This record gives sequence, C-alpha cells and structure tokens, in this order.
Amino acid sequence: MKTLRSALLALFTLSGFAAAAELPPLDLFRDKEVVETFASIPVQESGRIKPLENVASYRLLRFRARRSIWLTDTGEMDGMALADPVTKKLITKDGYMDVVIDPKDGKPVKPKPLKLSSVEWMLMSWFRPDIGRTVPLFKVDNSSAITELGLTAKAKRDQYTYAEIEPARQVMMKKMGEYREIPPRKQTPEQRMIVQLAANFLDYEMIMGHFDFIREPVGEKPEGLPAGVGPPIRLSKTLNAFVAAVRANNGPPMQIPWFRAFAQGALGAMMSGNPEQQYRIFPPAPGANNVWNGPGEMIFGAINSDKDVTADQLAWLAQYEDVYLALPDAAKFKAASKALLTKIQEAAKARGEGQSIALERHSMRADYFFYAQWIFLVGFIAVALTWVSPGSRFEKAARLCAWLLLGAATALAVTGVVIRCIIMQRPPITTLYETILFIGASCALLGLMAEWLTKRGLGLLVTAIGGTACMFLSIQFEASEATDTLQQLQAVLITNFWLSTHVPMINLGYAACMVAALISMIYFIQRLFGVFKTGEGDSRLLTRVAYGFIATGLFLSLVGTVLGGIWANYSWGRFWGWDPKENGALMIVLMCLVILHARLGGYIREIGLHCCNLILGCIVIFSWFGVNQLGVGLHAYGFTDGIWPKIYGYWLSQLLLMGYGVFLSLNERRVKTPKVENVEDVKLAKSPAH
Amino acid sequence: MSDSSKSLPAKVFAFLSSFGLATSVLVMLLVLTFLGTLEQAEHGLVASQARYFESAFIDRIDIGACWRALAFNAYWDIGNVSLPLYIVPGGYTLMAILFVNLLCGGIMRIRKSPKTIGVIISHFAILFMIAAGAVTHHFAKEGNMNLREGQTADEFLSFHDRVIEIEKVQADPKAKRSVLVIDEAKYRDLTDGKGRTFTSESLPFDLMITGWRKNAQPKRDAEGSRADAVDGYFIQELPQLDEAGAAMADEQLGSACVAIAKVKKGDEKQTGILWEFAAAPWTVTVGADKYLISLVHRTYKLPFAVRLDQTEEEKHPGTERARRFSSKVTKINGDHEEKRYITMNEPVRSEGYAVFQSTFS
Repeated sequence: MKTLRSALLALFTLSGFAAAAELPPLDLFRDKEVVETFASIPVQESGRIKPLENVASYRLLRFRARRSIWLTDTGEMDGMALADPVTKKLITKDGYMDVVIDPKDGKPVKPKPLKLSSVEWMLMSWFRPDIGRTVPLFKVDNSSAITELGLTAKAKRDQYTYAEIEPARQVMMKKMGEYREIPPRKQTPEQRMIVQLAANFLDYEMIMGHFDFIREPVGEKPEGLPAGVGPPIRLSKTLNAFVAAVRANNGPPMQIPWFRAFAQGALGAMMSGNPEQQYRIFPPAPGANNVWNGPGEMIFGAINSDKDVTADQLAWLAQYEDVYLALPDAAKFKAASKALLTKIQEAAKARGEGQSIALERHSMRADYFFYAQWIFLVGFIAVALTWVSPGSRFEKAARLCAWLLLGAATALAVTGVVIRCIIMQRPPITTLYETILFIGASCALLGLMAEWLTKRGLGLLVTAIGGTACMFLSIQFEASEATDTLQQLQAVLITNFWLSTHVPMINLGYAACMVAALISMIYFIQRLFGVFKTGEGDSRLLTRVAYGFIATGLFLSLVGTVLGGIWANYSWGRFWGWDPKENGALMIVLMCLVILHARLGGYIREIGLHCCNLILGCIVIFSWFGVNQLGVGLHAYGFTDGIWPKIYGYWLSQLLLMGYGVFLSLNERRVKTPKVENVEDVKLAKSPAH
Repeated sequence: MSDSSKSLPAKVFAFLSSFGLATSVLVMLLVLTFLGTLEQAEHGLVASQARYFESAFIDRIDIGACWRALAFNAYWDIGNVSLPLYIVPGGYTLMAILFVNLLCGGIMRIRKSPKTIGVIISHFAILFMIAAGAVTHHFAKEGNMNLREGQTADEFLSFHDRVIEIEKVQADPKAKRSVLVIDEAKYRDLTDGKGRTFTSESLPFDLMITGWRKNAQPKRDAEGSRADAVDGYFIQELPQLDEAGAAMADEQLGSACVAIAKVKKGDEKQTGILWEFAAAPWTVTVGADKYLISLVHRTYKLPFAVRLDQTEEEKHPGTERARRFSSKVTKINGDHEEKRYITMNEPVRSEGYAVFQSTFS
C-alpha cells in the first residue's frame, strides 16, 4: 500500500480547480464561527487525538517556519496584497478592494495586507486552492537548491509559491528519489533542501486537492463508470461499486479510465505522504480498535483489502461530503460543519477520547512560552534599570517591577509546562524540547528562590537571563523541528514512576548547575567592569550562592543518576552501561565533586571556583545537547544547520571568560606575593568555607 | 600534612586520604569519561568501554576519532592522530584508587559530627556502588537468547565474549557433550604474521591460530595468487565503521582467523578458516575421529529453561511507533512449569538471573 501511494504521489499533479462560479469568497473562511468550528475538529495524528488547529499550525510551521501567513506577494507584511483570481480584486485586511494607482509615481498603492492564522490558511487552501497557489509559502534557506531545480532563484533565503515551484515538479521528484537514497549524513545542504522542499510541495498539493474526492471523485468527464453509477457521483453512495470495479479489473488499475482521478482524489483526502500524519477524523465505535478512520484511508483501505466499506463508515463520509457540498451557501456550510464537529466530538467522547482538545486549543492560543520570553526580557530590562542609581527610590521601584515581571513570566512558563502534562497525562519531560522548557522554568524558579534568600538583585538577574535564554531556545528549537512537540512516549518510557523521578531530578540537576555557571559568568562580567575585587562585598555573596547551587546540583544529579541506574537495571538489566547519555550525567557529577573537593582542599578559591563553574556549565551543555549529536562520523552532518556551532559558540565564550579569570588570578598573585607573609591568613583562606 | 615528624605509615595514610588525591582522581576520571564517550562514535561502546573504563592502563587515545566526534573536522580535518600512552591509569585503576581514597578520607579521616552525617552517608553509597560495579564486572554474565514463539531454550549466548570451541563428534547422539574452549583474550593479538599453538592432552592434534581479524569475511581468491589462501579462500578485512562513518555495533562485527591443526603423530597439517558467521563449523578428521571447530559467542547454561509462549506488540494508534512490548513465557525447571509475564521495565528474575526483552522482530 505504501509503495502504491508513493508511486502515485510522484506520478500525478493533483488539484484541478473548480469552476469560478462555485468558488466561495475568502471571507467565509475567515468568519470567526467557521474558523472556531474547524479549529476544534479532533484529528488523530501521530498516535494522538489533537485539534485540527494543531495540525494546521505545524504544517504551516514546517512549510514557512512561522505559524501565520500574509497574503502578499512577498509573504511578509510589507508586500503588495494578492489579487483574488476570480474577482481580480485585491485581498486586503479591510475586505476586497480595487487596485488604486498612486498618481504621483504611477505605482499601485499598497493596501493594508491580510494575515491568515494557520486554520484560516488551511481553510483557504482547502476551499480556495486557486489563491493557495499564489501565496509565497515554501521557505527556502538555500537559493542554490532552487537554481539546481532549474528555476530562477530570488534572494538567498526566500519564500516561493506553489505556482513558482510547479514548473520544476518533474525534476524535483526525480531528484528527491535520487537524494533519498543517500544517507542523511552524507547529503549536501542543497540535497537536503530539495528533499525537504519536494516533501512539502507534495504535502501542500494534497492539502489543496483535499476535497477533490468530493468535488470530482473520478475526474471531470468520467468514462467507463461501473454499472448503475452516474453523475452526480458521491462516494458515500458508490464507493463500494468503484472499489469492486478496481478489484474486478485484471490488469494494472491504470487501465481503468477513471482510476487516475479516483486515486488522486484519495491521495488528497489523505492529506499527507507520511502515513503517520494522514488525516483521520472518523472515530471508530467504542470498544473497536484504536485507529481512527479518514476519507483517504477509507478508500485505499478498501482497495487494498477484500472487504467492503461498512455502512456506518459510509455515513461518516456522507457527513463530510455534506460540508463541502453545502458551499457556496454560507449558512448551510456553517450548519453542516458544526454538525460534523458535533458528531465527531460525540463519537470521541463515547470512546473516552479527545477530552483535552479544548485545553490544548487554549494552550495554543495562550502561547505561554512566547509571552514568557518577552516578559522575561522586559524583566531583564527592569533588572538593568536597578543598576542605574543604586540606593535610590528609583532602584526600589525598578526592583519591584522586576520582581513582578519575572514572577509573572515564571508563572507563565510553569503553567505552560503543567498544561502540557495535563494534556498528555504524563510527567513533564519526555523529549529534548521538553527538557528546555523544564530547565528554563526551573532556572527561573531557582533564581527567584535565590533572590528571596539574598535580596541583592542577583537572583533576579539569573531568572531574567536563564528564563529568556531557555524560552528563546525552545521557540527556535520548535521552529527548526517543525513537528508537534507533544509526542507519544517511546516504549521504554511507559513507567510513570521513573519518568516522574529520575528524569526531572537529572534535569533539575542540569538547571542548578547552569544557574551556578550563570552566576560565575555574572561574577566575571562584574569583575570586568570593576564592580568589586576578590573577597570584597558582593563577590563573597556570588561565591557563596554559586557554591550553594553546585552542592544542590551535585545532590540532584547524583540522586538522579543513581535512580537512572536503578531504572536501567529494571529495563535493560544493567545498572551502568557507559552509554553517552549516562556518561554525560556522570561527568556533571564528577565535575561537581571536583569543585567541592578542590575547594575543601584549598586548591581553588574565589576565582578558581568561578572558573571551574564555567567548565561545569560547558559540561552541562555537552551532556544536554552534545551527546545526542555524537556518532557524527567522517562527515559532519548538520554542520551548517546543526547544533554543534551553537555549542562551540557557548564553549568559546566560556573559554574567553576563563582566560580572563586566569589573567585576574595571575595578576592578583603578582600583586600579592610581596605582601603575603602572614601565614595565618593563608591558612584561614584554605580552611573549608561555609 | 607535610609534617616531617610523622611516621611513614601516617604519611601514606595522609596521602591516601587527601583532598589532593581525591581531586586528581576525579579530574582524571572526568577526562577519561569524556574521551571514552567521544571515542564511542567510531570505536563503538564495547571497545571504548574496554579501553577506558575497564582497563588498568590506557594504551592510546585516538585523538582523530574524538576530534571527528565533536565535528571539529568540519573546520579542520586533522586526519588520523593517535596518542600512544601506556602508563596512564585506566578506569579500573582510578576507581580502585578512588575506593581507597574514599575509605581513608571520606569514612575514616573525616570529622564525624551531626553536620557531616549526610556527607559520610554519600561516601558510603559511592563506595558501595564502586564495589557493586567491581562485582558485576568480574562475575556477571550477560548475553542473549533468541526465541520464536513456541521455542524453548536453556542456554544463552554472551553479547561480546567470543571463543573458539573444539568439540569431538560422538557416535552416540545422547552422550554427554564435552567442549574445549579457547578464550578470545588468548588469540586476539594474533594478527598477521603472529601465531600461537594451543595444545590439549585430550586432543590428537595441536591447534595453531593466526591471522585474526576483528571484522572480516572469507572471500574467494579468484586469481589464486594469495599466499594466505586456504582452500581457495582468504580472510578479507572489513571496516568497522558503517557507511556514515559511525561505529558498527559489536554484534554486527564478525571476527575470523586461520586455524591450523597439526596432528601430533606424524606431520600431517589441516588448515581452515574460522568465522563467526560461518554456517557450519570447520571439521578436522584424525583417523576415525571427527572434531568440529568453530568461532562462536560463548554459551552459558541456565539452571532452568525458558519457553516463549506468546509475544505482543502494542503500537500508538495509526503509527508504527511501539507503545509496549510484552512476552508471556514459561519457566521450566525439570517437571515444574511456571507461567511468567515480561513487559516494559518488568523483567522476570529467578535464581540469580534476570530475563529481559531486548529486541522484537
């Protein structure tokens, strides 16, 4: 089945378009009620029930790295509004408008452009594919990939419409076939770009052709139809007859005159070349199997098996057809789509599924981490303002502001993490993305706690930097992966007990160690600006707090690692296996132990401790992101778009700070040597400081 | 500490229990863990574990492999650089020193007060873990058992431990088998030009092993020009890296060597190729007796048999992603049968053995 599908995919150009008269105005699909209805439709994708809004949003994110789209010729806000191919009028924020020529320079005046949300974009692509073709949708980071396809490249990074890519369809499919044979690590950036573009192009083609199986299930002028079947054709009534005809045909199915269009329609109905991401919106009866059905699956499933489609499945199909066939009557369309939604919701409810759809939609709209990022950043500015005139009323006011802002941002981040747990009914961390959220929220909380205890502004600074950095990172990470971040668990993670003890422990350990490293960075930067000298004023506070965080980090990492060992012993039969991820955790524990013992032994003091902390931070980053990238062999896969350069950047910055630390330390020794004759002092300094 | 009036044992104790020793050992362990992790990319887990973590001394560091593991080669390819070392302590030595240091410094010498209770307990815990690790390293046997539904087995094959087995073919199929075993450690160094002869009183021949390769396959010597060819085949060495340049798993590597049986009476010689993935053992015939010689994973016997009754794989709906694997097995001990259930994170433990699911196919 899979091979049939991919063969068909490469063969066909999908989506012929309906006659102009049938096409409803775009405004209908921006209607609040309509958008709300479609956004809430439960879909089973990647093993999970999610709102259609989620599907639309990640599709758009994958195509153009953003969750919304401007209907302009550049795809950005500053472009010229696009014209509706039917009415030839400009589509603007204020509705359809005629083109107005500016009398001064003879150029058309740019009206206010229209921005579509992900669901609006999906509806536009479904019901007005003629507009969908003309919207700059595909983000291409590497213009040489476009040149390789024989097209005219725009800027190095630019967006291309479906219509612009279409002429190269054949070339692109051929190249995709070739490049897919190359292992991902050996692909050049251009090859990777072409494979990605081709997959996106095909997926969008299927989205635009989604309703073809209702509009024209077997093409415009079908010939050789099965006996007793005649226009107007509705598959909900005649699907079994078509399938029987395909089965009865002895030769290749392509011999059947209408098969091509029939298969095309089914592909569009499926909406994705990835079997896990096909469109499944029909819940099975309670107690039946767990896989939801969808229009595409229904057709292909029937062709590939020898069973007829059952009456209740055909009833679902009929319900779905009603939605499309209600067009262009707005009132009927709204009623039909609402009826569909209600029926799906009720069927899902009967199965005990889809309860968290509303919560998930809320969390998508609330966009906690996005807002948290900006509030953290504003909080950072407030913290910076406290430095302007120390001791004044202004400082107090700024500090209060910082407290409020950072407290609010932390609350947002924590709420976001908690809601994700509720939606998925599982502990907070199961993927790398979730570690970023969790560690970000933890860093912010730890910083606030430190501030509560010390009241010197240090904790607020830690919260502001840690929070902003992690939220920023999480958003970047999500955009670069462009897959749903709420993923189903891998089999080994099924035991909630371990998932809710070992994993958060380790990640809290990471967070505590990162906070320690952050404090040391702050220490060196303050030294750079001559805020204090060794052993003076705030420097002692910084050292004490950093030391406290190392001890906390050690405790958490050690307990977490031991718990992990016990889990591994349950799961794989060994406590310790020297696996890279395990070694990463071990390295953090070892570094914390080194710092503690070196300090107790008097080998490092203030500057030494902070230098070691920076190394600790580098190790945490390595364990957190680096070990996942190992196994990188002779060819550095992901070098250009990968995570390594970012890790190098971090390491390099830390090396520079460390170099500065060594310089400071040498400098101090040089200045002090003639003076320090007092043995007592040295001994005091060497004794364990608490 | 440097008080010269102290006796020698006191000085030794002071050294063994010092923070200095603790710090240096921990730093060395840290560096070693880092390098051992990086080398896994090209040398695989088993090899780097043996070299770094279980060794008394580290023989060399493959700087080139570590460099590539960090993807530095994208900026500057340094090629194959190896740093030979012989006296740098390996993981085994370091952990032994750490154990002594912990015992002397962290348990005996440490100031005992209510404040340090937590620290002492943690030290105890780490001591215990090091000791447990040593016990596991020396005594645990790990391996796998391949079963289809309905099959029964009472022995398992070691994951990584290879041996050469010599077995006399017995006329009576019910007679007790007796097998002579040569450990891999005894022939692993016998690469080109090196050979070693193994003798046993119970065998009518001596066995010489030579030309060992970690990953190889027998290949037809088409031109018939090779001096090392045996019956028209020679051992062709294969790379231990896959297409993408990453280390292949140890289980995928098939070692091979040339074996020469020299009959003790007279000077007859028989030569054969031993290969891990060979379909059948190599047969040596001396007089009326036949001997089967093969290069295999070491076999261990279980005190009971396991029958796999049924397996289940549950998937996340609409995907190929596994949600849960589980197996129903029967433990058979003589006439006694016992039904057991193995699933994710729930192995079956019995008589000092733990049975896990490792792969499903």
